[in-house]
Amino acid sequence: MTEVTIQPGVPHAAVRVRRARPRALLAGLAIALVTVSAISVGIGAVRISPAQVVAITVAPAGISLPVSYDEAQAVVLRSIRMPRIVLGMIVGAALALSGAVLQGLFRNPLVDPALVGVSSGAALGAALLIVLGGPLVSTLPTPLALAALPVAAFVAALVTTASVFRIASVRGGTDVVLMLLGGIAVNALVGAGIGLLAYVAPDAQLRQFTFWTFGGLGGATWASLAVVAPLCGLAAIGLMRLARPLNALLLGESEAGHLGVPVEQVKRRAIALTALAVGAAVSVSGVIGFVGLVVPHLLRLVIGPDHRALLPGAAILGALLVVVADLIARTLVAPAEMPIGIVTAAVGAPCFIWLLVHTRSTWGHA
Amino acid sequence: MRCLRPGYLRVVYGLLIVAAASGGSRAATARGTTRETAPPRSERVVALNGVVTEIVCALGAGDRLVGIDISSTWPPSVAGLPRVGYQRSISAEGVLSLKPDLVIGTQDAGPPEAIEQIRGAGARITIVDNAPGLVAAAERVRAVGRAIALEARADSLARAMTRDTRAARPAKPSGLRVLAIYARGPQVVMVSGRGTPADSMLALAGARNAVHEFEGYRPLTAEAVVAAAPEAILIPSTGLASLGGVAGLLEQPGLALTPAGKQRRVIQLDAEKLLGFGPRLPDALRELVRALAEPAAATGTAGGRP
Amino acid sequence: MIVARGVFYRTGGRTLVSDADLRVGAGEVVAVVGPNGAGKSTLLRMLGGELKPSSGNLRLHGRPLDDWAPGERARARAILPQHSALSFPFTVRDVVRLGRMPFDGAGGEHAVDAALDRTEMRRLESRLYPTLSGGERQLVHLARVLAQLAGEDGSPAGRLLLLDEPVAGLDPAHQHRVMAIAREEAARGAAVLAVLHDLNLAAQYADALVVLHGGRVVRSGRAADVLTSEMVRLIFALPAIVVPHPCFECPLVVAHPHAATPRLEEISL
Repeated sequence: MTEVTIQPGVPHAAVRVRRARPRALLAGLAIALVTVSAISVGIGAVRISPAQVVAITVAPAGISLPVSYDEAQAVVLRSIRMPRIVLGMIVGAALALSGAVLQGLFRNPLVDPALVGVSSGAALGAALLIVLGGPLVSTLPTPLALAALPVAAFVAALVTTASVFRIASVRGGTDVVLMLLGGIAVNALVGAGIGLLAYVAPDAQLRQFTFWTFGGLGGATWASLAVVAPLCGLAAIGLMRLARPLNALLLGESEAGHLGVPVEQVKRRAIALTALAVGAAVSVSGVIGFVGLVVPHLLRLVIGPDHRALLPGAAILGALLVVVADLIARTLVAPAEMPIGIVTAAVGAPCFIWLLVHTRSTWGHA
Repeated sequence: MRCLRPGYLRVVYGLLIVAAASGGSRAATARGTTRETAPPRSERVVALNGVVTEIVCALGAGDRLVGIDISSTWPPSVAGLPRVGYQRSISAEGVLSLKPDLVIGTQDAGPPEAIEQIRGAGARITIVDNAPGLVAAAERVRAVGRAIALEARADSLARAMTRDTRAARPAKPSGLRVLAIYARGPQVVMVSGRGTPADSMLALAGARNAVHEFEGYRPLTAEAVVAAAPEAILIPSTGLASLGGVAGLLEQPGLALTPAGKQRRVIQLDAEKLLGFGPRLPDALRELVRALAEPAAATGTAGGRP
Repeated sequence: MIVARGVFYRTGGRTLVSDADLRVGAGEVVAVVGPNGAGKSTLLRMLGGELKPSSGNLRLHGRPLDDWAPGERARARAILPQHSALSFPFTVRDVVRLGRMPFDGAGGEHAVDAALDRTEMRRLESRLYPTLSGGERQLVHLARVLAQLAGEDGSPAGRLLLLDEPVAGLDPAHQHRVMAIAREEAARGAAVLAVLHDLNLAAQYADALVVLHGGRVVRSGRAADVLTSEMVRLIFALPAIVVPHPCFECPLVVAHPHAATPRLEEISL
């Protein structure tokens, strides 16, 4: 995209809009993600030097470097930090990608998975399973038991998202006000449900449930990743393929239909895949806010609303943001740990306000 | 359009099953064992519970502590130690950065994945029961003693604790009906039923829990409270402060209509000391018995320092 | 190219279109006129495949419209809607490029360029859509529709162009430009149907007029045959005289809503 200027004599504010070239930006973001992750792996409460990091990483491949480290460091690096960073990338990508798709679906940039009931639905699904289904799950073989939580979260997220979408649907599209109200209603209902579960839950299950609502990546293990990664990966692939139909959908549902887009099918897929991605992510990491709202918005400012660049960009930037937020969360008050939701809110909220103020002019009367 | 093949979701479901099936086989291998008998002497101990910290210090091993959780407030000598967070949501790496060879916690310690990760890194983890009651308290002391290889000292501490506690019990149970409240601000006000630490303490002090219809904690309701008709209210000092003192407490539904409320008979004591069932148990019981014996003062509160 | 026979549309207990017969062939421009609420947009949306008729027959290129898959339909016809819901900051060029979607990008940039040139939107191609005026936005969508109509080979021949009040919000010069473009598309082999409010624009540019009233086709045929002062007074509730156009071979409708008596005798139909 080239630099854009507004002709003199035109009533809108003189605004220079610079759009970055999508491919360059995506490459840049990807490099940043890899770099930050590599750095992040070496930082934490336990001191591990960069040389040790490299040595520990290549050791399983049979390469032995002349750097000494002890078993504890190796375990921390391999079993605690690495799965955690990978989970952070997956969760960040899933949330940001879902946010971008939902914003396109509702044709409104203020949509966030939490606002629309996806995250809270996932939370309710997980809560139901933990509190009511505990005995049932423990009879399942371990592999299925591990998958039970993401699946429960997914199913519940699907129900809540579809409900909000239904509430917000008017002829020819979705109404923003109805969407917000529907989201408020569903969130309130879910909150009541979770509250009720917390009330009736026996102590042990309540404990298990409260761990999970704190919102953090501390529970990352390779085992849980083995379940969440394929689910989120599949959802991500499916979501990225919706890029072109979503572009058309921005014109309006009937126009998109005129252009040959199977609108109903696209809407259903978007909802189902978003619920899957967010459900799987939330089931392991709890509810992490702002990522789904701020990341797509930020990107849109820089590369425009074309989903073909926006969706992959959102995934990468979301991953980057969560890895950074997690780094802060686990080092700022070491040896204790902050809930990551606080960090994303502390960063996301001012970001969002800045965005709102600075984009009013470029938007005309959006 | 080419990109939206039908049957795509069928593939998703299929892969879900496959992913689930392969998920279990890659669990991190647990390393290290927890042995309760003949442990090596541990030089670096992390305590994940306030009472555990107290016991470790009471056994004279306080210098071995390298980290504690945020509920560990006693004795004052541990104030400078690094905190690893709230016991229910600790950071595995945070604990490991203190290079502990022993981590002692209760069944509240978590999340389970963090505990596993700590175990996997080779640190010994001992879980002691946090059940209330005198017998459980003595056993707890012995269990911690076993973990840090100070069984003999632990045994004599346990015995002294049991003896002193029994001595602190009143000769004649007063049978006073007491309502035990847990509060964290006006929005979270709970009543302690059977099986709670407060219930246990009241039994030891010869009083009666005004509420015995349920186990555990339930939110305060006006009707239940009035039906219970307590003659005194027992509440931790921090809880009382969060409600805005006695005045604030009595604004809670129904309390002002109870005999305790009418006489403003409110007993506030330090929570950790009163409900921890740790080494300070005899002291705590003495304070409670004394407070229960006092009739309501004009100012309406009886009991110890916050 | 497109034929409607006995088409009805009923919804919510009301019949919006009754027994409509209509045909538009390649090279023709047909204007659909009528008072507000006559069912013009409904009829157009049925012709475009967006609404399903409650009963009746709709065929495009001889095949029932129902038989066409959405993608196929998108390659055979383009619709310019009355309003657009677009509010995202796409550039003008991006919006026009969206029209190429049914063709998966083949020959795209060339078609986009041509469409932008014809609607004189080239100089604004990097502007952000939400910063445009209402008329400019209308032209952008027309460009998008032209880009879609251009098909794989750049020619609209054999395709259907449906315009729903395409000149609303445009200045007179642009109104004529748009209608001229419609004529050009027809000349290149497209079938064009436009819903218009302006009877004179319809008279000047259309080969045939279809007059809708209360959901029924009450008149159809050449402008000269259809446009009479009696018709205008009855159907549009507007007193008017119809005179020959001073410059072109078509009638000119002159409305005189406040005149005491019309100059010409009223002829009963």
